[in-house]
Amino acid sequence: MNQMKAARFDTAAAGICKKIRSSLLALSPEQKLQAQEIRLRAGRPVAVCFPHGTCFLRENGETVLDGIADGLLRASKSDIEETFQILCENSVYSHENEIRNGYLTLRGGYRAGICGTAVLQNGEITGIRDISSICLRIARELPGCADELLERLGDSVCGGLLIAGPPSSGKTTILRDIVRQLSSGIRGPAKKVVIVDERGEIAGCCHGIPQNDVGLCCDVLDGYPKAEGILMAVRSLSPQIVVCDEIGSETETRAVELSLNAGAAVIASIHAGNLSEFLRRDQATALMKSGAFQHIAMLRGCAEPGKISGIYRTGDLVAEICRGTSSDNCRLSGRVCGIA
Amino acid sequence: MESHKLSLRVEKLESFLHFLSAAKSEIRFSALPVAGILQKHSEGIEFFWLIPDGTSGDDWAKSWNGAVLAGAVHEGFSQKDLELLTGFGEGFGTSDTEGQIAHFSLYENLTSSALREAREERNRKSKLYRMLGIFGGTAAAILLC
Repeated sequence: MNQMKAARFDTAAAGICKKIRSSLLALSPEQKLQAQEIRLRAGRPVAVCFPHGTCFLRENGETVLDGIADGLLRASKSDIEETFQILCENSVYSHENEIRNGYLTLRGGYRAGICGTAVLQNGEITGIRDISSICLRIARELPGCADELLERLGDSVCGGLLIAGPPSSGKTTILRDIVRQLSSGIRGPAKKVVIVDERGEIAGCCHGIPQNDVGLCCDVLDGYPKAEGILMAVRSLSPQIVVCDEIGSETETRAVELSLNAGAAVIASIHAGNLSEFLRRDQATALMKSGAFQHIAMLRGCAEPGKISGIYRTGDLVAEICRGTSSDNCRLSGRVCGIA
Repeated sequence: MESHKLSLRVEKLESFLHFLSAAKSEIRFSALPVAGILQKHSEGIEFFWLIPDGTSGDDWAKSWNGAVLAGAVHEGFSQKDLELLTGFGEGFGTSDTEGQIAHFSLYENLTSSALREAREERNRKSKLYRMLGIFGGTAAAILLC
């Protein structure tokens, strides 16, 4: 199992230019297991992010915490460009929409965030030039990581679930495992699940084939904008559950409401550092008030990916918001209790 | 032999022109990645098989140039054609759809001119080479008799 996980790091590193790749491959198996991100920034040291913090890479594969230490491996502009071409499989045109949105979905379900200068046309981003940094996120499949959540929620997971947590807290990994378990019938009869995978992170489709295990009865709408995808799923795929990642815009909230009224439950994730931040987000309030989510699961953070800090009934949180707004700006007064 | 070389060059340039047209359509309508395009439309151009899969992590421009030098040289392309192929490889896959369409259109035009020139050369010189062959053969026969 650990060997497989380390192999995922090696597969991700294969997308990096040769000069840097060899140093990354020289990392120890333990480090490969724990690595969350590989970050290249033009003219700056190559960084590898672990749950405990960021380390910088030396040419021999040693990592140091000190970013100004001697002998650090620096990514040049041409290294970044070469890496970008490799990540695009030398086919920039076939990733046009992704690049416009600042990322690339790669074979194996990995995602690379792209940073550079925006190319604008009529006020809209049409591309990115002068790429200055690349953040390669190492996708992890952790079968069973949603066990605790599914056990605590039981059948009520089908009443709608919103998973909230900060970046790198494991939201997508948990979503993926929920999909796998529900669509494979591991917990009760298999459910018809549709993933609206706008950024290709959940199923990680590459040339139409999901790179991650998303179960037996799961359809993937790959690259669809979430709002359109949810409506399309409800109209044509008769799902019992619709799953999407990082939800929050007004149109998405409206699409969620429509799917609820069409008889499909929604399981989604949303960014929020903690419960009080979550309650302060207008998008979160709108989603909760839509009635599409019976429960909210809050994750702990990047130091403990996949760990649940609390599960809350949406009704309780909405009531808390109402109480909070009537008294002061602080929406969380400590009266909210987790259900388990 | 020389006559065959001239015909072969025409044949190869025709294949390459056909590839450019098919690849342009693939890019415009299906955004098929480079590796897929090469695999699907490689008929008649052997050096494409020498190019590693796009997922191998190799430098693309180097891989393309290596394949041109190792394979295309022996396929009947002239030195000028090889330069054209190298130039094409430098831009293939490196830009967005619009950029690729423009790149392909440019190389379609360049390949068409090369093809026209190759056809003229073949028509002009192949007759000459054939006649030379016939005369040479006849002369040899007379001498032997």
